[in-house]
Amino acid sequence: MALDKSFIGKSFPPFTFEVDKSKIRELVQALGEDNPIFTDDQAARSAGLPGIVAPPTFPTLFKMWGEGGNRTLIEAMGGDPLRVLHGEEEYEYHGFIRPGDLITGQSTVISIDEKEGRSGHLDIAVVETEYRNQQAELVVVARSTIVIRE
Amino acid sequence: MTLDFDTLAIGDELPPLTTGPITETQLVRYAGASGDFNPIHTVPHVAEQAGLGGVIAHGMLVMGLVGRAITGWVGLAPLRQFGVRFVGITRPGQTITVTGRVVDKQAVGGEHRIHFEVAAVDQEGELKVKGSFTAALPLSESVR
Repeated sequence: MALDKSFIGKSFPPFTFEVDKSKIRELVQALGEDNPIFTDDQAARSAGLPGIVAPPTFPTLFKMWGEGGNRTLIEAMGGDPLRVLHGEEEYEYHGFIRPGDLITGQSTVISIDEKEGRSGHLDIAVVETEYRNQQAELVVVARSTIVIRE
Repeated sequence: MTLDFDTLAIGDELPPLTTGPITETQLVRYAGASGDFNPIHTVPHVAEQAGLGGVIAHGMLVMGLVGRAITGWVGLAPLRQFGVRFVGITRPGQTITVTGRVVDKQAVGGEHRIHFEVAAVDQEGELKVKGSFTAALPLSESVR
């Protein structure tokens, strides 16, 4: 089941995620992270930050909770979600993500390519997601490379 | 440790971060935190049926461990870009070591940016993820 290439250049509907301290704390605890800039406002301010901030891979929560993750997008484009592999993930940071932020994301399909891999035919999709806060400021751009094994 | 633009030279290695071992409970916690409930990470019989020989860690968890190393090295505010390629499967019981190395230094738009390569390996040295990050760092006190 190949991906529908007519999705190249198209955007999916926007989605939202509300950032709160407890969600940040859950993620840093799952990672074994003990840097207090992610959990303690005073410690974060002492480190020159505006207060508690979200860690670098926090935007994965926007996508998973807000949009359903890569498997949902692949299914929408005609691919088999059970054959999805996460090939690459990249973030460009433009601003802090802070508790209380209401983040709006929107994903766009950048490319869909086909490749013959060692284990057979692969479809490779690149999806870029822009995340803006409640002031419409761009905070993060995420780029996921998703590999679908035939 | 405070890293600055002048002191770091191409080829310099950052102090490695070793963390783990990864536990099954940690995968359950990560699933709940991240919202990634793909059962190959948490339900042993599903992972067996998928031919994985048991549950495997979320790739994004391993990227998160690399992120931990990065914020330990440079903090959060200087971080401009961070990307990884997922190369190998990580399993409970494995200990992950994250390494980083300076590969380029540039002045960009009034910022002094250093480009680092990063990698995460297990206790046998098997590669899990490789990638890069860019940080805008201050000049050293001596030249400011």
